[in-house]
This record gives sequence, structure tokens and C-alpha cells, in this order.
Amino acid sequence: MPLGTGIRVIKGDNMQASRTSFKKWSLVLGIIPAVFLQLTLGIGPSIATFILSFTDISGVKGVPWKFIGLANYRELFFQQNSRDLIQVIQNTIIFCVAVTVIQNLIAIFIALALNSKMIRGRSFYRSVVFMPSVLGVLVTSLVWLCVLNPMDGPVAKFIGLFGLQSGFFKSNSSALACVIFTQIWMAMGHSMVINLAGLQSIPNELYEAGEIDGTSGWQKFRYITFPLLWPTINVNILLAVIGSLQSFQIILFTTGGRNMATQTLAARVVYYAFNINAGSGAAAMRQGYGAAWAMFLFVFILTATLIYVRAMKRREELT
Amino acid sequence: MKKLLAIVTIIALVFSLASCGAKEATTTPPPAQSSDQNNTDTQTQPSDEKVTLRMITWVQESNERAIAELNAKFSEKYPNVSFVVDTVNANDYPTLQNTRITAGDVDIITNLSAFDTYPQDFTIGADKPAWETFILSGAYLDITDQPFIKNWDPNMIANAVSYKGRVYGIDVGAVGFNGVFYNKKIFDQYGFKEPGTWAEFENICNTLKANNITPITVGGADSWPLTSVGVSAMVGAFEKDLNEYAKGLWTGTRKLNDERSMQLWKRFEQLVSWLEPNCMAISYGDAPGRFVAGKAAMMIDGTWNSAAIEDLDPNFEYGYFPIPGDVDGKPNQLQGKYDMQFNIYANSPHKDWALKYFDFLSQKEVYGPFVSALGFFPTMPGVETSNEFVNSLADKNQNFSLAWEKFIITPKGIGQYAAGQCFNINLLKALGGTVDSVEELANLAQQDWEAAVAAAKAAQ
Repeated sequence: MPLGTGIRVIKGDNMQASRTSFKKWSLVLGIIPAVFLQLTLGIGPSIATFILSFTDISGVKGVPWKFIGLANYRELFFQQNSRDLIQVIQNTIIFCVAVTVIQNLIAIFIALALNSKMIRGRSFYRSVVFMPSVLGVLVTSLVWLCVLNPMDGPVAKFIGLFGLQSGFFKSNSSALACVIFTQIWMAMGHSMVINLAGLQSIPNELYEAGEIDGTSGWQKFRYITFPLLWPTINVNILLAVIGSLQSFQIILFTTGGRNMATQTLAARVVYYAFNINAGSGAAAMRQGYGAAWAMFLFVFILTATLIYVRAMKRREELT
Repeated sequence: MKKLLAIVTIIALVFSLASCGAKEATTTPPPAQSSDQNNTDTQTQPSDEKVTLRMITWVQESNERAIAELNAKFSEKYPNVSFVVDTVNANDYPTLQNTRITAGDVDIITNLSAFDTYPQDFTIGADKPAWETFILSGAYLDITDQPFIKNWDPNMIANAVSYKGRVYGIDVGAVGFNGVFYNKKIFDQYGFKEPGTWAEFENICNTLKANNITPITVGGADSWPLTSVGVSAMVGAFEKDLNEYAKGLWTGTRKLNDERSMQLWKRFEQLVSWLEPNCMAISYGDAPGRFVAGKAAMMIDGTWNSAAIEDLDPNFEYGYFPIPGDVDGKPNQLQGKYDMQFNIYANSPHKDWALKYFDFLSQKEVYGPFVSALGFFPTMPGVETSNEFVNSLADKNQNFSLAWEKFIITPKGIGQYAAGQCFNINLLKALGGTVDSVEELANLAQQDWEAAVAAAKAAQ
């Protein structure tokens, strides 16, 4: 019996061990597709871009290419017109800050309004606000190119009544503002929905307790809503920062991507790597040089994100 | 487990890097494929299987229509052959070309112009043109030994479609683009004749403006109709030797803000004041409509766009004259370029049919109507165009020369004020830019030019 028991015990240990091992392997097997996809579509291309930034690869099939050391970076920082380079960085910062701040402020305001029980037909309004996010970049660009057409567009006609005129997307002085406006109009719905979800997760009891204590509307917002919504706003801000720094499509479709007044780092990457909107007689694609710009953009986004995350951490520590 | 993850990582990275799809440098570029290597003889009939030839070209109504007619004739002769023609805006065309060649998704390629504007010994560090990249990549079929080549003008073959003694295409015509279309009715109404000097042109524009008629319209939204066509016309009319001017800018003997260049800038300032308000919002495709509707008395454009005017109103009376420049008594002759070039994608599975198509196009009875429909000057000896407008330009085509666009090459990384063809008048406040005056713009352009040349020299 003891022997049998012993055998059973040993058997049981083995089974446990094999179960543990099976669990371990099933976990590994389970994450392999995700790791593979992440490496193939995320990290791999990033490493490839880094490597290609040291080459003169054109991207045209069959054209020989070679490693050229730091030549692309030298061209980017020393051969590129310094005033234009500064303007591109400046445009990128203005675009990012304006989009992030304005988009989030409006999104919070609209989310608060559409979370209020005083408004009838909230679902309808929520759909209306979210709709531009569904339209996509191309449709959004076409809509606003028509609305802000300086020749016959409705806005041009309206401001014409007051003796004013503007080139909107076609004028260097107003193009960036118009692009920022269009980007906010398009992306604001997303931020609003995330904020709305955050607002709905705040327990009603807190407001009821506040009411018992005689808090005003503003106090409720300041001491209950805002602190509890902050993690959501935080995510929204981070998404807006990264999204706006990477954004080039809206610029490409509205101003063509060549106009220096609206060129951002992301638009510059596309311009060089894919010869976008370069016109006749231009050089072929320069994907090696474009990759160097992409690395510059990567460092820019990484720095911005780290600064933001650090600032938020410090804020948390202080509070 | 670690080993497994390492293997997955390596495989994934290899996949990613492999997706870049290019080969490591070889010491010599791959030789372009010759049509002879495939033993293709255009005189023999290719197989009768159903074939769809994929073509790409750019949006230009008259070109598209002429190509459609040509393709229909070819399909009539060879019913098993059909065509798919994809078009995009001219600004985006180089991108379409790049992507289609990279994907191998094309049989016949049209090129915006000839194999020209090549870096010279004084253009330090300038980028090589896209067409050379495509030749070196082996994308264009070498058609040097095809019998139909002898049907074409040997000068065109030598200067427009050859590279290192080999022929890679056919250029189907030349165009002028140093002038403006004008509304004959308005000109008659005010007793104007085609101007022979800048003073006459100035008088016409000022008189029109005084009578509340917009002198000139242009499709500024596409940028090139003003900054390429308009600028080429103005510089070409003013400078005696365009190559010397370009060389002088590179070597420092000429400046974009020297006394002579400033005279030209002043004329640009006048030109801008005669343009239709908000012309930078008018697309190239819409400009002929505004011109025909009488919104402006003249339109900056190339001779290729006469068909667009006639399509809008077949009875519209119009003419074309080169922008005059009287400083050196230069005659008002057309300046321009070899325009649309046809090439065969070297790895096309339908090379035999593409060559047959080229052979078909090279016959006088086919090419004649085609070039007439395009509105180009013929590049085949013995072929005369039946296009009335093109024939009306005969007296201005006695001494045809290349336009400024074909001489100017800017240094790598040039700043925005001197980019393109050096005179970026669209940056003037009057056209929606940020620069107040031509003096300021000229100084900024020269600063950009000097900085770029210095950087190019330093990078050597």
C-alpha cells in the first residue's frame, strides 16, 4: 500500500509538473503570434528604418544602394537650409500644442455637456460629435477644402459681406491655422467619447455626498469630476501629442505637403521618402534620407513623451 | 523558451528587413534589358491571347483623350488587346510612377518630359534626376535596335530619349510654355495687338486693369502653372543666355539680387499685380474655364492646353504669344521642352505587345492624328499637324529653344525662397505668402542660394 501510495504520490507530482509545464508552454505559444506580429510590424520595421537611415536606398526596385555612414544625417542637419529646418520644427510644435490643448479642452467641455441629464437627445448629439472621426482624413479634407474655398466657398462669401477675404489653406499666413482646425474637427470626437466613458465611471454617490455638503456646480467639477477624470484626460493628452506629431495625411490632402508654411516633421518624412507631390523633374524617392528624417521624428516624439510622462509623475508625487 | 523567443525574434526581424525589398549595392548597375534579348520582333505577330496593357499618365484632358483614341485604334486592329489607363494629378505623377514600377504593375509608362536637365560640372552635389534612376534600375526597356526608331527625328532620339548611346523611349512631341493665351475678342475691343515688347505688354495689362478687366488668370493652386510655367516664361524672355545665367548663379558671377536680376524681379512684381485675385486658389483644371468665361483676358499656360479651351467653347477665339522681353531685343520666340515620352516597363509580361504598340504609333498615318490631338509640335519627319492652333504658332516657332526650367538645377537642401526655379513669387504677400516686397524676396532667395552652394561645397 505504501508503495502504491508512493507511486500515486510520484504520479501526482509528475502530473502537476507536466500540468505546470503545459501551462507554461501554452502561455508561450499563446503570446508567440502577438510577439511575432509586434516584432514584424512594429519593432522590426523600426530597426530596419534605423539601419536604412545610413544608406542611400531610393526605394525604386532594382536600384543598387550602399551604406553611406552619417551622410544622411549630415545632410539633414548641415545641408538642409537651417531656417527651413527650424520652421519645420516650429510648425510641428505649434501643430502639436494647438491640437492637443484645444482638442482636449473642447472634448472635456462637450463630454460634460453631453453627460448632463439636462440635455435631451444626448445620444443623437454624441453621434453628431463623433461623426467626423468616422469620416476619415480624405473626406474631412475634401469637406473643408470646399467650405474654405477662397473663390466660391461659403465662408469666403460670408466674410466677404464684411469686406474681408482670406486664402485659407492657400495662404501662408492662414494655412497652418486651417490645418489645425481641420485636425481638431476630425479627431475631437474620439477624445470626447473617451472623456464621456471616464465621466460615466465616476460614482454618482460622490456627487450626492457633495450635494449634501452644499457644493456648487464649479466645486463639484473641481473637487470631484476633474480629479477623477484626470487619468482619462491624461491618456487623451498623450494620444493627442503622439497622434499630432505623427500626423501628415491632413497636411498632405489640404495643402499638398509642399508648402513650407504647413510642413511638419512627419510631412517631411513622407515628402522625401515617397517623393510626394514633388512635381516633374524631381529626383526619385530618397528613402534612406527619409529614414534619417523618420529617426529625427522618433527622437522628437520620444523626448516629448518622456517630458510629458515625467511632468505627470512629478504632479502625482506633489499631490 | 528563451531559445524559442529568440528564434521568433530573429525570424520576425528578418521578415521586416527583407520587406525593404532592395538589393545591396553592386559595383555596377544591372544592365537595362534590351528588347532584342527577348527576341522580340515587332514585325511578327505576338500571341492572340487576350491581353490588357496597363498604362499610366497624368491628368491632362487633351492628352488623355488623344491616348484613348490611339488605344481604340490599336484595339480595333488587334481586338484581343485592351487597355487600362490610370491617371493622377501631374504633381503626384512621379509618385505613381515610382510605386507602379516598384510593384511591377505597369506595361507602358508615359513620362512628363524628356531625359534632360542633367547635373553639370558646376552643379556641385546636385541630385541625379529620377529618369536616370529608373534607367539604372533597369525599369525602362532598351529599344535602340527596334526598326521603328528610324521613323523618328534623330535629334529627338539623341537629345530626348537616349542615355549613354542607348534609346529607352519615344518622345511624342514638343511644346512651348513661355507665354499666355489671350482672348481675341477683348484684345480687338481695345485695339490691342500681340505685344512685341514688355512696354506693350505693360500697356495692355494696365489698360485692362483700368477698365476693370482682370488681365491674367492662372491655376496657382497647383503651384507649377505659376512657379514653373510663369517663371520660366519671364526668365526666358529676359535673360539672353539661360545656361550662362544658371552657371553664373552657381559660380557666383551672377546673383539673384544683382542689378539685372532686380529688373526681372520688378517685372515679376508687375505680373503679380495683374493676376486674378486669389489665383492661388484656382486649380489648373479650372483656369481654362475662367479664361473662356471672360473672367480674365489672358491665361498663363503651355501650348499643350489649347484643347481644353476648345472643349469648353469650340467657337471661342483665342491666340497665344510668348511673354515679351525687350532688354536684349530678344525675339518673341517659343521656348519649351520635349513633352510626353513613352517608355516600356522592362519586366512587363506583355513586352511584345507594348513594342507592337510603339511600332503602331511610329507609323505616320497613326502618329499624325495623335500629335494633332495632343496639340504638340511633331517629332516625326514628314508629319504635319492638322491642329489649327499649333499651325498658327509657326511664326513663333522659327527659333525654338529650351525653357529656363531645363537649365536651372538648385543645390541640395536649398531653402524655400530659392527652391524650384529660384523666383518663388508665390511667397509674396500679394499671393498669400509672407514676404512684403520683391526686394526682400530677392535678398532671401540669394541668402538661401549662397547657403546651399556653400553647404554643397563643404559636403564635397
